[in-house]
Amino acid sequence: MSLMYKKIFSHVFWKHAFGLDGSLFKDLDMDKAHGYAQLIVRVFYFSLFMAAYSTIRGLGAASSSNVVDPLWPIQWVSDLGLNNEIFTIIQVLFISASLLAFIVPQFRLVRILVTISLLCYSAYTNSFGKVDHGWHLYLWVSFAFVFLPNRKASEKALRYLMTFVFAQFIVLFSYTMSGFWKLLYGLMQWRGGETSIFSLDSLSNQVAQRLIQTNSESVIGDFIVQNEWPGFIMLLSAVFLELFSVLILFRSRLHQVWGLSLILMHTGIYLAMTISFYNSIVVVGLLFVLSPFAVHRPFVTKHTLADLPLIGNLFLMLGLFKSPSPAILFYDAECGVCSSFVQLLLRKGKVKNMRFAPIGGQVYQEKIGANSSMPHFDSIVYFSESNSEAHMHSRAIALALSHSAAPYKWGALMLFIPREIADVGYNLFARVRKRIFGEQCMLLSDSEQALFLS
Amino acid sequence: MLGRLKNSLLINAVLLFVPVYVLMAVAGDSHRHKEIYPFFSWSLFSKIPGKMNMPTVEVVSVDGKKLDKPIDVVFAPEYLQVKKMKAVSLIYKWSGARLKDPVSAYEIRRLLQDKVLTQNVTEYRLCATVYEPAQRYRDGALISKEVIEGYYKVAPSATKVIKQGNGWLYDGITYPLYKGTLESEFLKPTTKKGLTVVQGFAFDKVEKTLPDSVWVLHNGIKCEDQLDGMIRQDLVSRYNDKTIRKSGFSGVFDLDSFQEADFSSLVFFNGHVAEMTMRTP
Repeated sequence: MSLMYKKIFSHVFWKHAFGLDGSLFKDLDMDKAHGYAQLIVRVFYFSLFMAAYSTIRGLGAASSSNVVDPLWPIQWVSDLGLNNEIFTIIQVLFISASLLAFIVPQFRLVRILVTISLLCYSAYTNSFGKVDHGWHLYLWVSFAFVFLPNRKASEKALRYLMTFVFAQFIVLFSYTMSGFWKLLYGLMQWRGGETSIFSLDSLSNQVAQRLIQTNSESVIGDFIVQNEWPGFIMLLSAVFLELFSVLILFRSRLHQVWGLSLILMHTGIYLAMTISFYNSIVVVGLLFVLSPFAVHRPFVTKHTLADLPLIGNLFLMLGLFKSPSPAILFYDAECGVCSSFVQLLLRKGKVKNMRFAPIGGQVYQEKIGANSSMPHFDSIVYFSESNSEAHMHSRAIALALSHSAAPYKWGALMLFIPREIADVGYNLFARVRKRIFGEQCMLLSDSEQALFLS
Repeated sequence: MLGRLKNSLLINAVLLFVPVYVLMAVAGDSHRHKEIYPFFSWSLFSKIPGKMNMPTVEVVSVDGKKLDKPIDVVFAPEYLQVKKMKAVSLIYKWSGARLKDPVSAYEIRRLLQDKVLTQNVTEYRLCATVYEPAQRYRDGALISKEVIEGYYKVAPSATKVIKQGNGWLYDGITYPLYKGTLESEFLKPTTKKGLTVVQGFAFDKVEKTLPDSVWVLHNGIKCEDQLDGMIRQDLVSRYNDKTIRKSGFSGVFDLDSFQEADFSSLVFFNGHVAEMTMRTP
């Protein structure tokens, strides 16, 4: 295995991309996904070219207007006292570069040219006193694509896909930021006794204010203002969708559903508030609805629901009230903490329907190793025998605890925390566990030994 | 070596990107563009509008004829030379400037009058409206509306304010003299951007109350671009009293030349009036 793979597996962020349950690279045909991602990148530049071309109507007319408040990327134009017609050159450059990138996206120089020309063009259109954000997502994705590897790079497929994931991350991160502010201001307004996102008339007021301010009419705006309940549910759904966006990055089974939901949200905003998100819709559509990590996976409703942030966690927690189905807990036999955890489950927790086996052993190879193209280095892996699904990290701990008796069983309540967040604490601990707790040999009784598979 | 560096950069790209982006986005909030381009914080529409305070401009007369009812220009695009959003933005700027900078407020008003409102608008007024958006949308109801000031494109022959023995006479009404303890400052006029600016403050020292209004007069005639309720943060610390924060006033005149003696200033408290004495700045 190469050094790069080793680095990725132990990396605090990327290790999630190689998880066992619906992660990005699980069962992924790398070459096929790579080819597909290349096609998406090409289509991305085509869509950018079309968007750039549509600005041609303003060509010339724009250059006759004086910029009021130049943004930094075009400050040099004002400083040098150049004529505003320089902007026509920037616009032409932007259109030409995006066309070129559509034809030969493999050349980094071309991709850099697209990013710079888009940066300048967008800066120009936003230099009239008010900054609009229609081009921002295009710009950031274009920036991420600059780092796509050139043709001769080794481990090209992996690096290409990782860069693609970086672009996906930027988009999802933007939505999460948007959701975060809505939640934060919502809590502040609620605390101050003001109308907030938790008020029944939240969206009614938001839509009404927009329609009053712009003195415009919209397709569903009137309905939302007149009916508070649908608007209230729509706004909370939108906040949920935005806030948890970044969590679905590694949950490839959600990419398409999430992408479609975001598009639906943008369409709803347009229909209610007449704010167009055409560029955002195209970017989300390309990166998520057509995600190279999702298109090859069959849609299974159960899996999709299980992956949904909070809702999936809730389903898992409801499962705690049932008798747990048979499972195997794979543990790192050289890790003192892991051995202690197993002993805790056996002696204090009185686990039911669970057997044990070491990671890397014969049973592990049979159950998990054979099903995955990637090796795994982890302290605990929970394998459900009923549906052959494996879980790692914090979720493995929580599910293992769900087999034990109270009060240990209640440790499984951590299932309600989204796994990417719970894993932060888990990973910090896992990094130092061997250094602090060392190795430990397990002494087992005969009845306990019967629960061990190898 | 270069390959390793590239790999390392790619692997750590997200960890590098997030803190830089967040830092720039948060820092951009205090920037005049509300962002350090293109690090946008994505905070648009984060706040739910509840009770809205919105300055509005109403058209009162067109071609010298009063309308049946003053009409908000946002709802009357026929009286606008520009797009509605631009007009709304300028009205907000005007309203904000009125509290802090009389010369900017004067310039914005002139811009509004000459370039935003159509030429046939002869009288208009600035109002402060308070409303709840959904309610206003549904039935047009406002929580409150206060007329701040009225303006004429060509001022009608103005009525002089005249001093009488026991008060001041204006437009047939006599205002008796104010008996309270006035703390005030009425500074000699200065020139800024070619305009004559008169400034000061006034409040009742004992009652700690602000005047209902202040009139700045030139040759006994009310200044059209006078402002009261202006923010004077310096007075809060000077008198250690927050209640007098909005005790400032000003008047802006477009004069070729002026005599200091031609200016005077009146302060109104509950229908009573007091005259201020001019001081050197």
